[in-house]
Amino acid sequence: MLEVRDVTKRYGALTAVNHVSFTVKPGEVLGYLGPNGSGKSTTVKMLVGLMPPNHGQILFNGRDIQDHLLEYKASVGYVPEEAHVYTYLTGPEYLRLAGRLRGIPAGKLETKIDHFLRIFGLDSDYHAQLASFSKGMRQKILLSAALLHNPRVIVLDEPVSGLDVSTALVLRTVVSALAADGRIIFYSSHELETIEKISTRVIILRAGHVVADDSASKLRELMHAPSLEDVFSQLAVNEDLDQIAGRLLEAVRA
Amino acid sequence: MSRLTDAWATWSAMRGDEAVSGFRLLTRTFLRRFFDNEITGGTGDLRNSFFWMLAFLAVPGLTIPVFMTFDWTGYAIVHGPEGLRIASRADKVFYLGYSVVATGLVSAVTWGSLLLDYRDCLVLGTLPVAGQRIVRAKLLALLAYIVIVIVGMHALASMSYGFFLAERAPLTFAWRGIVAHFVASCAASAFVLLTITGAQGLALSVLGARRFSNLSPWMQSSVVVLVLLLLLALPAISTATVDSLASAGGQPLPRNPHVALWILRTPPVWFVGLYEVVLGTNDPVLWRLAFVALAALASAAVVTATSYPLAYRRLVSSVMQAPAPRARHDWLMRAIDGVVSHLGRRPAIGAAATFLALTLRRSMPHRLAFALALGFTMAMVSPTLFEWAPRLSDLPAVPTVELLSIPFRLLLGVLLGVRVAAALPSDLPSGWMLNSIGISSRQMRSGLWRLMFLTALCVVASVTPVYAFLWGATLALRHAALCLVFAVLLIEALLWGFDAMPCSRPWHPERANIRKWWPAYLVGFALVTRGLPALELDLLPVWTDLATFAAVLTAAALTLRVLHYRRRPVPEEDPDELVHVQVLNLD
Repeated sequence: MLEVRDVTKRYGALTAVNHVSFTVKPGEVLGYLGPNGSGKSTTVKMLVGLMPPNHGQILFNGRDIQDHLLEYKASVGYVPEEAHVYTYLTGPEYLRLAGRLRGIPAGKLETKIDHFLRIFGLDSDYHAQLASFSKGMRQKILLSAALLHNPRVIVLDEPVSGLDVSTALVLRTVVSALAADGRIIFYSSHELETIEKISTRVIILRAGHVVADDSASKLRELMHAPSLEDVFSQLAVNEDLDQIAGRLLEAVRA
Repeated sequence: MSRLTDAWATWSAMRGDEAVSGFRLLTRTFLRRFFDNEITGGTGDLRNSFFWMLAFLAVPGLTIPVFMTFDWTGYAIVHGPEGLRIASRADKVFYLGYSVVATGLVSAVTWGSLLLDYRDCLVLGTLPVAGQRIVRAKLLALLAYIVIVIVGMHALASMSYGFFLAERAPLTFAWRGIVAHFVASCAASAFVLLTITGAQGLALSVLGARRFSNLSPWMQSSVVVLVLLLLLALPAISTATVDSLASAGGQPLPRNPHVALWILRTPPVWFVGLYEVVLGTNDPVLWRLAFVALAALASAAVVTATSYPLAYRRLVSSVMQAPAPRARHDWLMRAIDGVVSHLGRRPAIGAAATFLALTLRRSMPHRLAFALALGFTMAMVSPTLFEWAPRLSDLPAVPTVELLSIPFRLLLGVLLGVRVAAALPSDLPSGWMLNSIGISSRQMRSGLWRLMFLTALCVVASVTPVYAFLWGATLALRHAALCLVFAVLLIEALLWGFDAMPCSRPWHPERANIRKWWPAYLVGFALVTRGLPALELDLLPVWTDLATFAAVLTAAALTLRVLHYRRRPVPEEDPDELVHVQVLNLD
């Protein structure tokens, strides 16, 4: 079980995440929602062990991840929002680097790399450097790198960004299946429809605080809203969206 | 710079001449690319550092005449202005050689920007701009870049040389001297830049984009090695200039002259001919040299101008036919990957080594750093090679300090190059992947250690057959064994304090603390290049003495390793990792 206990993260005077607590059990898909700047990605970075919280703890199976960081990182698969990759490497070279660093034996690794590349339709780009890859192709490489070692915790930050529709649909199915296998899945995204469909629970963040934590259906029921999008608008958005759209159109037509 | 070009573009737009301002905007964009290349990283600080580099290169030219003023004045008093003019040709050649070296290094730094590249074709190919226009804009930008570089480097030096070399001569001679120095040094620098650009353009036109991308790193490394060799040979060229010119002109020479006629075939001496012709001379040798200089400059310009459109056409057609640049999956990379991936029982050790090998092969700053190290190595080794190359049949049948020192020098230069390359970050934002994976820093160090040892093994293996041929297998193998033991000690010393994935951390050159430790580095260098081979020469005949010495070196290496781990216990969490996290800029 992954437990975030009263976690706070500050960047100087700015508090990005403020006393956030939640748990994700094996088999659960936790949808993590929030507008830009609400602290989603900061939470993600703390969850994958890239930075420690200023206050509070993140526990994996009852142990603080900071006390067993290497061991914890070995069980996490992470897809970041920004597809930063070593662009002078080819897809297989990148996956080989990630796989070897995770200690996957060479024979098994090569088989897995071939499988992933073939499934994602990247086998024809075997010798192409990542510099020439589109965003979606790089995202497929990142997804492969995150899943190569069959991790117990999967942290996905905008994983469908740049992916074509069919791959995004495949990913949804894979996420649900991995959860059914007992994986812990943390899914941060702006894609409300996807979150609503695959998450067993949804957390909505606003200005670093958790403002909602329940299943999508319960939240709809509680807020008397027809969709998760409406729930999100009521809880996390405080601007008049129609007014902003009107102003934008005026600027376009000027 | 950019403010000036911005103002230029704005002014053009205000005139309403959109076509002209579009062309200028394109030229300006290309011009900026010379300062925003892969090595400068496109950051403001590094762009500024490019101009600092130009200023740094300009300083010697400004200050050398000041330091030489007493010598020159004394010479002018004794031999008159004409005597000083002839004698100062050595100093002029030195400056022109320095210009060639400095410009060569600048060209190596801006290597990827000298031609239109794949990115230009992709970006500009979508816009309604004719190819001819793009080529013209790039050529104009190249011209502007050359003017910026050469004027920045030579303007003040020309004033300084012209003024100080006109000792006891009329003022008009000083003016002519300033012009002559400016013309000759600018022509020498332009020759280097145009030759390198022309060679690139020609190679791309003839070989096509894919083969050129394979050849380009070798060409870049060769340029670095060549200019460093010229730097090494410069004192010899400079010393031999006056007597060699006199000898070529059939003039009587003083006793023990320094004549080396081969120097007349080197660019710095060609351009000293141009220098003297502009200054005013009837000497046919100098006129001939001036002609060679101008012909070389014109040829380089013609090759550049003609190859540019052809190169662009080849590039465009390669983008259309094969849009994805292929990795250089050649035999060398396959061999390297095949060996280094099996360097450690643990896959992570092989991964660290492979990653560094791939980065060295494909990342331009790393390649350049390694090429500089190779140039430095060649500079250390070439005096011995130059000395013995013409007398291959007279090579000594017994070991000498000079010949024994060659592999030690090679190891020092090459391993230093690998270590510096490992310390240079390749792409910090992408380091998130390494940080998000639970990897042991000890394994990363181990990967680098083994790659360095493999490199050392290759160096020793390549020279041992030569020694076996010269002195027999027994002595050659003893020497090879000692070299490898020395390599182990050197690797431990170079990896002191290093506990991370290669190329994944911000660069901290200040940690070498050269200001404080330079005497130690100097002593270490002298020990490696002279002391160690001299000691080996004494120990080589008796294998037990040599084995004892090797055991001492091994013990020193082990002590270094133990001290390293005691001094820096391997941290579970890297304190630098926030650097990578912050550049992700996810929020």
